[in-house]
Amino acid sequence: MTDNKQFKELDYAYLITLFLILVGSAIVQATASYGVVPNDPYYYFQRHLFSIGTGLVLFAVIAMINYRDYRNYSRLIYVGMFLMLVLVLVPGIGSVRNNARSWFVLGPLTLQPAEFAKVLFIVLFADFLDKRKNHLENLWQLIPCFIFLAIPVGLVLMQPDMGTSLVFFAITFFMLFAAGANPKILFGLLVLGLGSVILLLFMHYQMGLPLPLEDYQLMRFTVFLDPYNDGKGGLGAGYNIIQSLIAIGSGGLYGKGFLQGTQSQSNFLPYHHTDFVFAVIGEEFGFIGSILVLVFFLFLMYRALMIARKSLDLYGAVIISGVVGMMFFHILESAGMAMGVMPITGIPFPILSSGGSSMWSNMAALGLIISVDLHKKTIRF
Amino acid sequence: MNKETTKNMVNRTRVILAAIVAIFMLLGVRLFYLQIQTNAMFTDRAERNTLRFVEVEATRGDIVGADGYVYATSKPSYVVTLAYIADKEEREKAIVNLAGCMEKYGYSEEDIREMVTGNARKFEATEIASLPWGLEAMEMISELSERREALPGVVIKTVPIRSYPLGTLAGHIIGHTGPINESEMENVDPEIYDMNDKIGKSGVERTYEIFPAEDDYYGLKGNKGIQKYQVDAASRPLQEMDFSIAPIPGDTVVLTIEHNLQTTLEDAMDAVILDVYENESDKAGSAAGVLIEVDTGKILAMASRPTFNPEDFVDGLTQEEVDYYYRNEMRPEINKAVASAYPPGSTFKMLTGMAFLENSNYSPNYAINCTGAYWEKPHIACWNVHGQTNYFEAIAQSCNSYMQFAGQIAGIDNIAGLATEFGLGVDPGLTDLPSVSDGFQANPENKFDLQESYLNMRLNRYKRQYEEKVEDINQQEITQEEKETLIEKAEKEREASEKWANGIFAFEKTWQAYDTYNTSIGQGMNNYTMLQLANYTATLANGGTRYRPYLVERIESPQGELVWQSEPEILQEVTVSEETMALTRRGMKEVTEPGGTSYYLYYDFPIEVAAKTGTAQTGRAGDDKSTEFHGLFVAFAPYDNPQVAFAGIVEYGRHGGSSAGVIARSVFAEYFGEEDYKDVNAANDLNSPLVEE
Repeated sequence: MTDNKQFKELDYAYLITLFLILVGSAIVQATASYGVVPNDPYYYFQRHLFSIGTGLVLFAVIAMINYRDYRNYSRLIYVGMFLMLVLVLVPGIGSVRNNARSWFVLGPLTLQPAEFAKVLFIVLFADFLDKRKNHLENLWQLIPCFIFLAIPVGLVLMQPDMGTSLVFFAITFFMLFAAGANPKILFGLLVLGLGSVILLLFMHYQMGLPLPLEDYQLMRFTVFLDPYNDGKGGLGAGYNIIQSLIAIGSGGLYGKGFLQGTQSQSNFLPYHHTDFVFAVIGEEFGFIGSILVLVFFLFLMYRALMIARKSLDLYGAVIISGVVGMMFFHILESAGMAMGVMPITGIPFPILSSGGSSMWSNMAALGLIISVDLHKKTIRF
Repeated sequence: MNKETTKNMVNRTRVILAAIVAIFMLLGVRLFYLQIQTNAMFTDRAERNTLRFVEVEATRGDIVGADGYVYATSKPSYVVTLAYIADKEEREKAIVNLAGCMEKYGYSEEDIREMVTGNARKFEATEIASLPWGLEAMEMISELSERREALPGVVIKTVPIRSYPLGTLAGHIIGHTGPINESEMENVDPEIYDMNDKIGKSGVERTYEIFPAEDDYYGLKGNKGIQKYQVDAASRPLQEMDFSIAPIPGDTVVLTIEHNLQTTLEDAMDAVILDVYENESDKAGSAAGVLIEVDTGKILAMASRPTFNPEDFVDGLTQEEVDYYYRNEMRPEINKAVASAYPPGSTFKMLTGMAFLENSNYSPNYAINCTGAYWEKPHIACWNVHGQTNYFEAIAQSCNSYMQFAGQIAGIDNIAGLATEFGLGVDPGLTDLPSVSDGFQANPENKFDLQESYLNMRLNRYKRQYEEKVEDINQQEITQEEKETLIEKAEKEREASEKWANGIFAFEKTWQAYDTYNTSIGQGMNNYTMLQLANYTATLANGGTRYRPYLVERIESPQGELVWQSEPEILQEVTVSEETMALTRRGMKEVTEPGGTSYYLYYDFPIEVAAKTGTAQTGRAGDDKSTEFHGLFVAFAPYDNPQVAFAGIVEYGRHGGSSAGVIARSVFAEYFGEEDYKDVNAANDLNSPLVEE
């Protein structure tokens, strides 16, 4: 399977970056989750350390497994993903948190199947695309890909989990592009999709076009444009954004310091250890800290793409693109939401947010990249 | 992978990387905008989120006596407030939890909810409870502190509350404080006061509330401070931070009041009132008295009855107290010593006498023959038949006949003019208390004005009646001719009435001889306060210098530094000759000598006292003019080296000597250290052989 040479040629820049990100993650959670449980201020921090530890194990295991082996079990994986997403919708099996039936509760563990489904989807879809390479030239040939996407997205939307379903779109887009799909069609579809969403919302608000969504759901989507105009003077749907902007904005160049963020530590900012963790970074570690975080993740994705480029295997490269797409979209959405430039959808910041499922799915996905790197030379011409 | 695919792969990863870099750069730009460009605004917003500024009341300054006795001070009390909580569920939770702690102290859930919903300033904290320092407060506060985690928005502050350790003693001088009202709010600096403040309402509490000094201000109020609190999203205070502005306590006001004299005055007053109530009149209960230093104008003691207890006003009045203070004919809230003007009765006679001696060539030894009434119409009676009476006897025995004669010779203008010089019927100059009355000194001009206003009232009434009649006539269903006849008749009636009234008032408006006679013996329209009578006596005693009366000696900063010191101030040098004043003082001396109206009170008194008794018609509807009189007494001592002067009145006391005179005796005994003569009841048992009727 592997030999010493392959280990020597591993992308250590990638591994070191990931390691530093994990260290940073521990630091961030030590402050962001401090006191969330008043009687046990380190409750979430301890859980987070556990997630990092188990995540590293998962990362290593996935890295060691030859990613190509998954192709032999596509059907099985597909059934697994499908069952996971269906079962969570069944009352009594899936649990409701924050108005969405997205959770399996197993004793002290709460698992979010959609998080794992993303990674399974990447593996499955890569295989799907690899088989159709050079046949992704026109819209007609792309339609099966969208049907493939529609199934998990539909199930995730039924929870409902808008944020995660959007991640599926981002993953699909990145993977299609990497697999060589006609870029004109892809960008056409992207523009068309975004355009029609904007048009629909515009028509809804300006001309009263009925939409199959409640006002409060739409509000969450559009309120970032003007958070004070939420019908409650900034105390409704806009509240989180306002508090997040205050947190980041008041952080300044150097930040207020570890545990010194008044917005986060005094609970003005909701979800500050999960979806809004980037606002805590902005507040306590300032512009320098925030930029540093973005640069580290950017570098991680850059190294991942370098691995893809070296892999000489479309299947592996498409998997990596999917993982990069997933991370990129999570970062864009989570940080963008905290900065008031993206709609509120509530998805975690990769690795930095508290939450086991997110940590594990990200570590597994990042492990896939190392697996690609580790097994790249097994194809010999 | 073939070469073509590899090349494409490289290109695609490049595109992906470029896209990611581009979007991350946009995020970086956004970060730069938020954290660098608009950082100041967000910093301010974050502070406003988390910092609460709470005004801290300054401790009000103390009011202390000349000898250090504390009349008004401030002690800490605990105030429990509940911050405004926007979220309804959170608010309800806070109320329920708070009630859980406070129920056993008498604050139920409903009470608290009512207070919160009833808060006029709905976004501000609601005051739930205010407890004076004590065991109960400590218990409750410690329980609340223990459960602080479960009580978001609950803040416990210590707030100074007013305390009056001596209760009613000098209560009228001290006055009281209360929540500022709207009209008071209009008259104060809005930068210093807000609607939650308390303000002095009466007495020194009011006059020394605040007064400007260069670019600062002095006074009891002090300067409010501002305390910073850091709070969390539930408005739960996380920590108390340094004062943004530390409060500065108010200044200490030091009175001229001597505790022993004030106590003696008030005790004597109470004893005399009780005696009068038991032996003379069940209308007894009101009295006033002032003891003043003759060479300075310093007020050493001042009292008014019924009593006023500032302590009653601290927590708001009970219904019973409201009835006592505000639905009481005796008006306990009024400081009668400075605010109530009474007819002076015979205490005025020294003025008549001085005007007489100054403006005539009569010798004080010249005697008239008192036959029990004056020989001129309307023959106003004397209370006795004095026979041959000279100047000294006239004062000593309070002869009405002599004084009417003296008044007639002197003339009203000289009498009224001299009275004004002695401070009667004019602003007494006391600025240390609010609501100080000028009294009233009658003279031909103001009699004319007064009667003219009565006449005009009456003429207006006739006019109104006539107009009503005309309207009435016009509404009747009769011919125009008949109407005119009736209107003409009404007109004639009106003219007749007007003519009659004009005729009557032509007489009333004019100063009549009997007005002078009445004025001369202290009856009629004249009304003076005890402060005015005391200062007039003091002026006579010191040889004609009228000082500004004052009762604040100095103001000290909270650190004890002198802020302001009062100095004796001369208001007037009277134009009476020293000789006339000496003769008049001698007359007053004879009041306490054999044959004098107060001999029985002072015959064995170790200090020589010069005095004058007075009885005054109450002038009140329903009172019997022949038996119901107020008793007045003015005096100074020692006779040959006057130090203090006193004026007092006991309502319905009937005789000046036996009522106010007894009080004066007790106060003088205390002042001169003659303890054996202080006892009021012993004085009451003295029987007067000569009692002015």
